[in-house]
Amino acid sequence: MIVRFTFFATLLALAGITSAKADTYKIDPVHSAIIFKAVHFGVGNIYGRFDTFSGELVFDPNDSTKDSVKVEITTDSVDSNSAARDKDIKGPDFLNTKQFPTATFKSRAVKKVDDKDYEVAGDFTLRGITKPVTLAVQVIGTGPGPKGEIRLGTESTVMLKRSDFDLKAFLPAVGDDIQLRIAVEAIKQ
Amino acid sequence: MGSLIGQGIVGIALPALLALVLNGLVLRSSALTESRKWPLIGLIVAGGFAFSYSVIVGGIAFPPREATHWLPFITIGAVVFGTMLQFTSGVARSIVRLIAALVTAWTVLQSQIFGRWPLLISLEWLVAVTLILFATSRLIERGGAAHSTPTEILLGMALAAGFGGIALFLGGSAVLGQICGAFGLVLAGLTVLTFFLPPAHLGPIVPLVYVLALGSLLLNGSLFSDLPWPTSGLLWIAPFGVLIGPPAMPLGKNRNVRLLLRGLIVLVVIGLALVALFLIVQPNSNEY
Repeated sequence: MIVRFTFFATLLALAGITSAKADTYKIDPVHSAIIFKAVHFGVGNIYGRFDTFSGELVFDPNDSTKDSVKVEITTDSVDSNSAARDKDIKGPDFLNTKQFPTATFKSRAVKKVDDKDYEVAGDFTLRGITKPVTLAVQVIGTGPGPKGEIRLGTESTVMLKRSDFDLKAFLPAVGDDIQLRIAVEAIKQ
Repeated sequence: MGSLIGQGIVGIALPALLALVLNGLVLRSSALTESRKWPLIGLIVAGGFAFSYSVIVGGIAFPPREATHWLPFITIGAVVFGTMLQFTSGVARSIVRLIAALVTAWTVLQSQIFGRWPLLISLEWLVAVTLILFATSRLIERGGAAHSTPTEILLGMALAAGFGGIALFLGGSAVLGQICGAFGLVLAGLTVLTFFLPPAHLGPIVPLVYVLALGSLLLNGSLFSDLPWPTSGLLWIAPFGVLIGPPAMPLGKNRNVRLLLRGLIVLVVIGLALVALFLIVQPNSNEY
């Protein structure tokens, strides 16, 4: 009797651990976007995007200390709706993509603000320079996708100073402040 | 737009003007022998380059993290290596030149070789660039001394660097283009000075600064931007136009005609370089 009780108690404990485990979600690039905007000559906003990126989110709605975010952007995939401008952005004056083919974000700490909003502090590495940044992340929702897979959707914004990353060409004609917006759908693994 | 013009004045015109004044003072100085003047002139040219770089790029990164960050250090290092060349001979001289070429090649290629490129291709690039820099600096110094006046050699270098700036600008890097253009303007000032205050010889320092700085700029342009290789190659050989023809007579009556003709030969090669650029890159489509 004691053995049977211990067995069931262990099973229940294990089940409890499993349900408390944070889930890992892999970014679905088809339903995600990374866009940026910069001020052009103080008169307008120029938008661009990165077409190739990957990453994963670890998410536990009940315990944000277990959460983490990892994103890797292929810098050569930049698209600003002008092939000529893209060439310049990829060149040594800006992203220098041949020498620095990726930009990365890795979280260090996640703080839950309310049910939907989180602050994700981490390190953003661009052009070989790593700076601490804090993403304002909003959870859009979770639920099943078309094939029954569990999806998590988030949208994050962060304001970067490009001069912090040695991107100083054409300052201040092209503004120093770059807003980066990362909207992802990620699939539970 | 105003800030871009202001940056152009401070980053391009100011160092050229300062270098012109300082080089003029050195060339006019009767207290200095020629072998003492050239290290100073080399330092002024390299200083002008570093100043331009600093203004245009927005500072000098230390330690350098990417290929273009090495540019100011290469030019200052070229003065040191050039001064060593001036006071060495034979095998020692060749070794100094080889080290200078190898260090420059490594600074440009280091982000790509031994890791990103296969080992054999990395070695081939390193050896090829080193040998080209080595041979060019030797040819421009020795051939120049035998066939041309200092003014003619400097004219060739100034034209190649000046138009190299335009080519780099149109080839996708406004920053490298401005730096190269500023370098060309500094050399142009020195060319004018040597026309009116002709020195007996040019020595190895300024040619080495030119070869390593322009070599690095063009390599950066072709490797990391969109400067076509044929344009880089033609700009590279353009200054050798001043070596064509019989040896120069610095004080001869036909000095000005020779200078003009040799300058025209250099311009023809530069013209071909720009035609190649327009055919390959079609810079007109680059407006946005």
